[in-house]
Amino acid sequence: MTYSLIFYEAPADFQKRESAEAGAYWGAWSAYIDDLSDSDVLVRGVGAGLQPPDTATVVRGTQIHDGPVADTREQLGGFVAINVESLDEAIAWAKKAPVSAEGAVEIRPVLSPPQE
Amino acid sequence: MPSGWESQITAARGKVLALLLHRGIDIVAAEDAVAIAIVSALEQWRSHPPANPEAWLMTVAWRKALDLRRSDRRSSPLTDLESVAAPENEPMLDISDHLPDERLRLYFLCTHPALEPTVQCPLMLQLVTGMTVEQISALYLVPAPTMAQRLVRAKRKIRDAGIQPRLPSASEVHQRVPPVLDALYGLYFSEWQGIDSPHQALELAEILADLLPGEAECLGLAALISFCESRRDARQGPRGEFIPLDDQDQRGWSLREIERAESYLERAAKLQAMGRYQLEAAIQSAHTQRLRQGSPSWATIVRLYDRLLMYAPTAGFAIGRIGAVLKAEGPAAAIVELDRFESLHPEVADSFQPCLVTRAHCLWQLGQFEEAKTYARRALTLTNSESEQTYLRMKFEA
Repeated sequence: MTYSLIFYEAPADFQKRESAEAGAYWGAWSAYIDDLSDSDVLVRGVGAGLQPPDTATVVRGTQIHDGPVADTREQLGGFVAINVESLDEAIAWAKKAPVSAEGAVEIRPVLSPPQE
Repeated sequence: MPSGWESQITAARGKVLALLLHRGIDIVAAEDAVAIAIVSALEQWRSHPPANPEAWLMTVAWRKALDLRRSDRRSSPLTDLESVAAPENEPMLDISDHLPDERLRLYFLCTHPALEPTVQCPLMLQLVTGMTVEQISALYLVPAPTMAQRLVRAKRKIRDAGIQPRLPSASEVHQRVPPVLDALYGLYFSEWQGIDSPHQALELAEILADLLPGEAECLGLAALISFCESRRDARQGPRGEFIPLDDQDQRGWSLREIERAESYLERAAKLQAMGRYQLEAAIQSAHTQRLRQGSPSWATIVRLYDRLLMYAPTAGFAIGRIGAVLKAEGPAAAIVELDRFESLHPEVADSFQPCLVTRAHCLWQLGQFEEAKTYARRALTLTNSESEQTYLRMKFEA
């Protein structure tokens, strides 16, 4: 099955990107993505890291305003898609993500394309 | 139809379902296929009794699952089943080789942490025993439509999120076992007529203990259920009345079961990881001292209840402890404890049947027979169990 791993990061995580810890932060993420890629579970061409939530804009109907959508502590930081056999395997990969204890990873099965 | 078949169908249900899942059928389709196979069995076995009912159910359910798959290809994301399609006149599928692991997989599937905790035990009861939504909702004191919704949602999540039936890995076992134990405990003690749920619970608890010999609480639960089963024949009097442990004729106890229980409990103790099921089993074990010394050590039983309450502070165990205090220290001491319990739990004092029964016993022993009868009569209205009602009427002339 294909699952999307959606990474939610805390404000402190986003701040790391610009701080003295930036090297360790980006290093951990690129090691994780390499690991997914080397294990041949990563769906290539899907997924991205995202700019911090203060760059977000929300369109709701005809209204446009400063975003993000939900005013929560954890915000969407990025996502990937992986191909694994079961939810348990997806959970195992989610646990390896370098998301801090204040963040979270949501796992969602990806809709399969309609069959002929 | 011979009445034995209904219990055979119920016993086979979980096994067949587990095997369908193992063969890649999704949970929703598998449950439908099993339901259809059972309906067919009820229709056909009357005129054509099967040689091997389990194999019959498995074969028919498997065929039905393949039919469902063919007619709805969109719901078949997992495996391609065409290659294993059943030929006509295929031999019956013998399912005995695949047990017990397949059924355990089903148990661990139902208690997967990705499912909402409150639905896990109900889901096990529904999938493994075939209890209806009405029966399960009555057991959990939840309105039937709410329970139905939770169950449907859980099964859809299993199917759509790709939760696979598998045994947990060594590192997960410790975390994954408690909900399974809780469900088996619920299955054993559910007063649900119609299936041999105690027997199923014992069988599964023993399988679990065999497969996970390093989990003390698994052994503890197997011990507890074995102890309870050892007294099955002694629990009921000639008029069908319930006989409390202390009034039972110990000649009716099964020494073989007690021995098995003791050996589970000893193995659990060696692992040095105490828990509620081991303590409950230890209380049962203390009662069997009667066999050797004529009476159990009630002071020991009170102490065991004290420890049990640290792990599982339930009203039932609190009253169980007071029952032991009644034996150890007499009715006056027990009434003091009952008063304290009721002042701490005013919400259950008037409506919790064991509380009223224990007070009736205390008053009876103090010679206050009329007051005792009043409490016994109130207790009578709070139980649906005929055997308990008969017991209360006989004991208190209520």
